[in-house]
Amino acid sequence: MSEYIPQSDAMTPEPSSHSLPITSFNPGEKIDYEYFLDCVHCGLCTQACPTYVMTGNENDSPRGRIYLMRAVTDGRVDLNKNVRRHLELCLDCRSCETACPSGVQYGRLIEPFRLEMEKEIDTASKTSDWFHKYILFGLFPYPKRLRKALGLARIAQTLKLDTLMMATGLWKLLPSRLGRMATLLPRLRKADGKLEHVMPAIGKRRARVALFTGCVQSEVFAQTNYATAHVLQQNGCDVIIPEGQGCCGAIHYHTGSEEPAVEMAAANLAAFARDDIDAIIINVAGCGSMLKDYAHLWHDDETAQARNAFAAKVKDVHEFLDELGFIAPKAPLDVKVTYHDACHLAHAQKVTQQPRNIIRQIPGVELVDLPESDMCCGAAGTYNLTETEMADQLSQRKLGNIRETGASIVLTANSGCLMQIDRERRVQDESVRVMHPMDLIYCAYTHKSPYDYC
Amino acid sequence: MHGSADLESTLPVALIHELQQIIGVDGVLTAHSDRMVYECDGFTIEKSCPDVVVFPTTTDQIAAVIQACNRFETPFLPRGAGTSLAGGTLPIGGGVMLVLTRMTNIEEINLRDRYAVVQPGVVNIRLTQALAGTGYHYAPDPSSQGACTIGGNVATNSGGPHTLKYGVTVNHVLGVEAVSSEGEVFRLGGPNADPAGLDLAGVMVGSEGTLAVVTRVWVRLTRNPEGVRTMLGVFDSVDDATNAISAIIGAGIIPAALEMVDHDIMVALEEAFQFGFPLDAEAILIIEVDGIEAGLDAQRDQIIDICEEAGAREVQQAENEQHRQQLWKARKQAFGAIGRLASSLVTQDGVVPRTQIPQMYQKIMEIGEKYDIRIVNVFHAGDGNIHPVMLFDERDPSQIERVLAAGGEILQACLDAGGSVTGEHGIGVEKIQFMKQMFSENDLDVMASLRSAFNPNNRLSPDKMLPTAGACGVERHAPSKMVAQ
Amino acid sequence: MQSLQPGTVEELAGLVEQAYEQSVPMYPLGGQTALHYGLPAKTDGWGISTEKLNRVIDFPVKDLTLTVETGITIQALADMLANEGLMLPLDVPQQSQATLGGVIATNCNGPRRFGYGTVRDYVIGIQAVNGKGQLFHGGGRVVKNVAGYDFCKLLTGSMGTLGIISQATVKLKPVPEEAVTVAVSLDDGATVENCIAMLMESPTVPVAVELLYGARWSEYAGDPNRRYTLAVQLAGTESEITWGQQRLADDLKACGAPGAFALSSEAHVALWQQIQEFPAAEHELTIQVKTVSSGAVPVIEKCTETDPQCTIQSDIGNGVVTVGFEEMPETGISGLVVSQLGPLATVYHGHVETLRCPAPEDLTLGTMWGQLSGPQWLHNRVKEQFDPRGLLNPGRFVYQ
Ligand SMILES: Cc1cc2nc3c(=O)[nH]c(=O)nc-3n(C[C@H](O)[C@H](O)[C@H](O)COP(=O)(O)OP(=O)(O)OC[C@H]3O[C@@H](n4cnc5c(N)ncnc54)[C@H](O)[C@@H]3O)c2cc1C
Ligand SMILES: Cc1cc2nc3c(=O)[nH]c(=O)nc-3n(C[C@H](O)[C@H](O)[C@H](O)COP(=O)(O)OP(=O)(O)OC[C@H]3O[C@@H](n4cnc5c(N)ncnc54)[C@H](O)[C@@H]3O)c2cc1C
Ligand code: SF4
Ligand code: SF4
Repeated sequence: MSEYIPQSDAMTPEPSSHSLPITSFNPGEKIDYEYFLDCVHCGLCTQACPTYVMTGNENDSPRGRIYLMRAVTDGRVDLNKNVRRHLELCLDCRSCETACPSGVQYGRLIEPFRLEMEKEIDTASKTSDWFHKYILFGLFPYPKRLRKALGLARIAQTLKLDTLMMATGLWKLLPSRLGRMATLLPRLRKADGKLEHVMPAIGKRRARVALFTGCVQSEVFAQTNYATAHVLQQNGCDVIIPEGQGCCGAIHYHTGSEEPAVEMAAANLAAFARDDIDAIIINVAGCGSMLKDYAHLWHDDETAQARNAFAAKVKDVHEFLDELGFIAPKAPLDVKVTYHDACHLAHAQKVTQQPRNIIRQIPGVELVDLPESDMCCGAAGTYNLTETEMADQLSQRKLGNIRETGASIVLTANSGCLMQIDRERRVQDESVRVMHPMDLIYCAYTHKSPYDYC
Repeated sequence: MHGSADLESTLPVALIHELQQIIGVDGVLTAHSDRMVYECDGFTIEKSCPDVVVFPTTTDQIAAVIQACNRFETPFLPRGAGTSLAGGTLPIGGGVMLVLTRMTNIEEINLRDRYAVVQPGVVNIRLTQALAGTGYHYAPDPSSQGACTIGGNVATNSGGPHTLKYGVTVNHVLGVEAVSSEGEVFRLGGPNADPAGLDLAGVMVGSEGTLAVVTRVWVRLTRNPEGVRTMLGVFDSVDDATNAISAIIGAGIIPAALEMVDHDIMVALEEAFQFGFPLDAEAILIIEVDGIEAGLDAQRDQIIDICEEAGAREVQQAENEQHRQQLWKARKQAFGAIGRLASSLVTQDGVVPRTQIPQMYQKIMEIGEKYDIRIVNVFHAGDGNIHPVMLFDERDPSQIERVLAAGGEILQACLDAGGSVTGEHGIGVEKIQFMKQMFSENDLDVMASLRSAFNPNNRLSPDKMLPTAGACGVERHAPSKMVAQ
Repeated sequence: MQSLQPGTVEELAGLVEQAYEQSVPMYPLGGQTALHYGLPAKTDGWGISTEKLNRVIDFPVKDLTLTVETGITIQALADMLANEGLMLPLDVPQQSQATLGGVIATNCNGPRRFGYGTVRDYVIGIQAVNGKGQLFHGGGRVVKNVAGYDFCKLLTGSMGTLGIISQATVKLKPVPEEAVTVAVSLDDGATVENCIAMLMESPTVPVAVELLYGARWSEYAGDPNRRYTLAVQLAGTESEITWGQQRLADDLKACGAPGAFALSSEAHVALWQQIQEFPAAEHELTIQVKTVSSGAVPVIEKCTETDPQCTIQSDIGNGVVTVGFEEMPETGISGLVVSQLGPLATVYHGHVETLRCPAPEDLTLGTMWGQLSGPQWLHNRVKEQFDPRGLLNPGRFVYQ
């Protein structure tokens, strides 16, 4: 009988082959208990949670996860594999924080909790995992290596090998996560121009800003960075591209590799430590929220001042332009678009209206509402590589909603979302295009057809 | 045994096996850690862990589960989103919990005949969202509407700010499909508002899951009003505000909504939403009138006059739809926001005749003083539904005692005023002891007989709502933070 | 049949208990205006009248609620409310006789249900004596209340078979400043349907929408050559009504129904009085079809096809069609109800009831009440719990 009840730790003992020593380990110990007490168990956050909406299981909801983490911390339950599963399935999209009226800081519970949970996984097994070794640690932090790898991909794309892979399902034969990475890669295109160290304002100078170019962004989305710089210039900004900047460290931090993340942060703090800039501009939501989080993710006093100063200057490009007063392009574009809220913009940074305000000002652009616009598309950092099933369900739902709007372009301001939605539309052979708002605005300034840029 | 002590399940493995065959292994939770999150709902003072949790997706599955429970003589109960504030989803005595959150289809929307058919797990707001652009909406709008299910709304006969004018859930339910406590599927009512026979669908509404498990609901759709005016009345004293409430109703005006928030709650809301509330005021009224555009300005002016006569400092108007939405968001999230004021809170849900709000407010404050408990207030003032919130520190046992005593006295005062101990949250397990104060032995006896017509062996949600012998087996924890609407 | 008139609820309870002990059937009596409604009584018993139970218990005018004993007549109630500018907007025939208890027991609703709702929306508290003589209550005197089971709903429309209703608390509404009727004559079903669909969504929020057919209504018809008269009642303030009348006329025209006109205020009063009394009017046969709104036109067309001489009054926005036949149709009641209209009603989620017929003793459950909504077993079980000996209005309602 017992084989029918595999989940039960109550009626049948946990399988002895369980890979983790669970009894003495308590990842909640390092969490400020007050954060748990903020939760009044009202459940108002549940529908905001993509994983709960998909599974209907309270264990996969914010309220449930908080309850589980607290129960582990209190010693009421062990950190068994079920509890782990529910916590791993969290997208860390922070949609629940936006929904919670009590101001529960969910990110401050799940992130350290998972960090501890991940640390617990045998470090040896982690570094011997090809994904961690070659991709996370080997590729992401190094734009140059990334460029080489992508060069190969570009050749493959030129030869249409990628389309072939997709069409024949050959990618499934690759190691699973590598296969997915291959299919996630959007059409790689060369940028229209090169980013210079200093790019002067066009027209009357209104501000001087530094652009954070990121790691993946600078390679996969080189054109978007170029477009962003151009849009800033058009808005009267001197744009500086500081040297020595690199990966923001978010992916590492969120996959439980704190140390490299700290190193990357240090490099960025140094690169941007200059008084002559009004703002540090970032066009990728995920990196943006990480950069803003530099202020409180670490607790050492020495760097506190530098971290705070840095974080205070970080601005999402839309946030910045809306505040500055957007100078809209003159030439009309005649296109119907919709806008998907990247979690790390809407929920982590609370930037929702600014991109819309700006998009609406582009002449000839009709912006239509996207149902469930702030529900995660499934990208969520590396989530789409690790939790493929849930990620796919979410992106299917997202594409369905996009289809309903009748828009021909969906705009979103995060590299993960761009890739995830673009992959889904390729899988489903949907004609809708996916684009960063900066690329669209760039097209308007430069009289180009947006369809050539997405 | 329940709660933390529950490490061993007492259910027969054969039953679990059968449940897994009915629903699929994927839809059955047996691990203690998985079931534990279902040990309480929005009411956290009492806890009881189900022995198994199942996620049916069809009516037939529910029927099969219930038949199995009957064969194994195991109690069972339905649960929606678990936002009950009365412990309605507490599985007393353990048993099987049917969680209906995977039944989320809106099956039909018929605008010509003004109804929709939904599965019980459809979240309230999703229906109104699905109706966007059609000119219709689903009227009952509990403050928890972003999370709670229509099945749960039916079970608790939910109200909301706008049910003052439009009526509570029962006024919007045309019919239900349900599974009886013995596992038989039946249907009461339907798209047509005049079914032949007894109004048993009406009886199902508000029965708190003790009569049958609702598996499908036919709801009425409501036309959006042509126009709306939303006002914010600012008062320097709560007495003036409550007098204005009773003057508005007394003048024969039924606004679409009439809500009161006192100073301390305003402070919390301001912190959460930066709405721009006048923090030096003692109370605000949120007043909304809707209907035919041609008549709205006159109604608004009349209300402004009444408020000013009652001593309002000023009456502001929502400038636009966005401003109005913000205002309602702030109002609906009021309770959550109070979480920012104190480490623990308990809310009551009493009702008094609506013109007696001023006296009731005085009484509440007296009781607060008597027990030395800080009380803040948010009222569905238009229908006399009060929500005094008692703030305290759960680490101090003497405070807990005083909070419980003060709460009891407030509800007794509601009864003395000819009111009720619950306007919308239900009896659940929380207020079961008040039933005897509100109802005679005959009343309760007849209620029990109605229940036994539907639920003869009392396996469906036992020991809820009616004070029967043996409502035990529940652990009473110290009241921790607890919200309400 | 012996008729007893208890003077207090305690006396009432005592009487019922006595009847229970002696197993005497009981027939609750209100104003006795609708005793023919339902299957006829076949056994002798006690008539228990609420005539003397007509006291006002509590009338907190400013709370807009009223608690009364149920023997009060609708007329007495209306007069009392009118003095305070209030109303209970249920349209009841023979108001000087009909009682509140009878209205609740029969769930009697009229044309204004379209805008104001039905009995179940107004009763917020109820007291009754069940078949064992137990006096019980449900609900309360406040407008919002979810404590305990909703006996108000259970007893509304229970036809005096679960308990004798002794007292009720109702919600009240302020009387609108003004009310007017906009009418228009129409000829074909398709145009009627267009107009109704429009009225369902009309921002003028009509209080009542009636479709009338037959010579009885000719004085209200704009054009006597057309088959139907559509009468729409608007209520509200002067400015709302002025606007609404114009808007309605325009919208009707857009639906293919030009020539809408407002009735004079005398004609307005007379028309709604006549509509209200229609179910009580003398006909050889009166039936009522209750479907969803979109079912009304097909049902009406079917009836006029069957007998062009029939008279029809329809709360068409709510899909309630009342038809009076001067002659028994050739098919007989069962042919009409079971074979012709029943299946059509079913298509539109409805059923057919017989309100008046020449030979009530021949009525069956099916021809009287139509298709029961909800399982028979559940109805029977509820009945057993409230009236274990089956003494209240035996044989008159849906139990088997
Ligand atoms: C912050 C907050 C604000 C609130 N505001 C309001 C408010 O304004 N107005 C209001 O009325 N309530 C309010 N509530 C209370 C609560 O949200 C409502 O009672 C709601 O209807 C419960 O829905 P649910 O889906 O969460 O049901 P649950 O909490 O899961 O269940 C509630 C009860 O319904 C039963 N039940 C659930 N589904 C079914 C079914 N399909 N068939 C039969 N029985 C079923 C359960 O057994 C239980 O007894 C609020 C709660 C919170 C936390
Ligand atoms: C379908 C329908 C047809 C109608 N036909 C007519 C008609 O032909 N003529 C007419 O004048 N009116 C008619 N009416 C309206 C009728 O006037 C109302 O229903 C009215 O309220 C009956 O009140 P009454 O006091 O006269 O009740 P009665 O005629 O005395 O009783 C009607 C039914 O209700 C029960 N009842 C009465 N009082 C109580 C009580 N206190 N508690 C429990 N049960 C009680 C009786 O046992 C009886 O079954 C009709 C109504 C409906 C819904
Ligand atoms: S996280 Fe916030 S919204 Fe969610 S249950 Fe806790 S208090 Fe409520
Ligand atoms: S972060 Fe996102 S996925 Fe995780 S609990 Fe919150 S809403 Fe759900």
